[in-house]
Amino acid sequence: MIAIIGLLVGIAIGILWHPLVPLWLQPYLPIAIVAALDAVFGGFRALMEKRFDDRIFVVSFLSNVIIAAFLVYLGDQLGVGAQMSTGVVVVLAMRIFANAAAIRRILFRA
Amino acid sequence: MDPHGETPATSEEAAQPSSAALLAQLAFRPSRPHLFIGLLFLILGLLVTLAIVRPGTEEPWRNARTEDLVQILDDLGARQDRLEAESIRLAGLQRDLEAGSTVEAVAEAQRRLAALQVLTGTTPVSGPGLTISIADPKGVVDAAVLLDAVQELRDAGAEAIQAGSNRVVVNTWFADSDTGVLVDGQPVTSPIRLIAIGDPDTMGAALSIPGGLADSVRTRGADFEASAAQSLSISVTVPETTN
Repeated sequence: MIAIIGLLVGIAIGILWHPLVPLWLQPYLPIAIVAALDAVFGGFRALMEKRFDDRIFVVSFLSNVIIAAFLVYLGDQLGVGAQMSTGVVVVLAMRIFANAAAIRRILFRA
Repeated sequence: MDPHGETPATSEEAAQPSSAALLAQLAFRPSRPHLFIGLLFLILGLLVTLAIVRPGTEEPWRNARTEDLVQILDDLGARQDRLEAESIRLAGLQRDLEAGSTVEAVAEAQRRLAALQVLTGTTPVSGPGLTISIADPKGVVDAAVLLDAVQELRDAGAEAIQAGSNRVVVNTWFADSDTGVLVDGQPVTSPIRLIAIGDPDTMGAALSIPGGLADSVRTRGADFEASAAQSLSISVTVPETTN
């Protein structure tokens, strides 16, 4: 419940207040979103499998975002920023799909 | 996290051992980890909105193509160059004037006076130019055509223009009447003669472009003829007025 409220409040803040994203942060924004989504789907799957743990979710959420951002930063420094971003997004998207499939199997038994 | 909304049917839900636990998870239980998770979702929502709703969509360049941007930049660069050149010229003029030599000041004033006299038509002008003759026996040329002609000549750099027996100045007017076109109240008779002082080549090119003055006059059924001359003179002047 609190999670949904938090999500809505976050969206509301984003729309109403409209903070300017610093330029150096902008390349990491999409990566951070995908990484966070991966953590959310992972948490959702764990919830379905009745082994959800608050601590693991929080840690995996933060570490996912930080590691993904760090990888992209590293890629930028090595001159392969675009490829690294693509790679990170592909891997995370694969994980999201795998988690979504697991959730689907539990929810719909299909 | 709203699994409840995604469960397809109540019968299916009842069959699920986890549904009770899921509902329990949805309950409002403000504990520290829950608040933390809520905060994380807040951040996620914020990030998503920031990424989707881009600020600054009001800036037109953001969506412009690269070639357009290059074009705009080039235009601005050229304009800046022009303005800088103008600025340098004016700064030099200011220096000269401030240097105190009245001779230069007088020369500059004379130069401007001459330019203004030509512009206002209070002095005779001579120089290279163009003589235009429009033979119009059927009376198809109206005031609009003559106005177009004057404007095209001015655009092409004509310093002074004479239409019929009138000097064309800033307040010259053209009108249609039963006896033909009136220029400043006087009728001009066919063939209508225009004299323009300025660069003959430029003006000639401007008049003979497709759809230009020569074209439109001939389309109406009148005869158009323009001849360049190295020395023409316009001796008609308008009286100086002061107001």
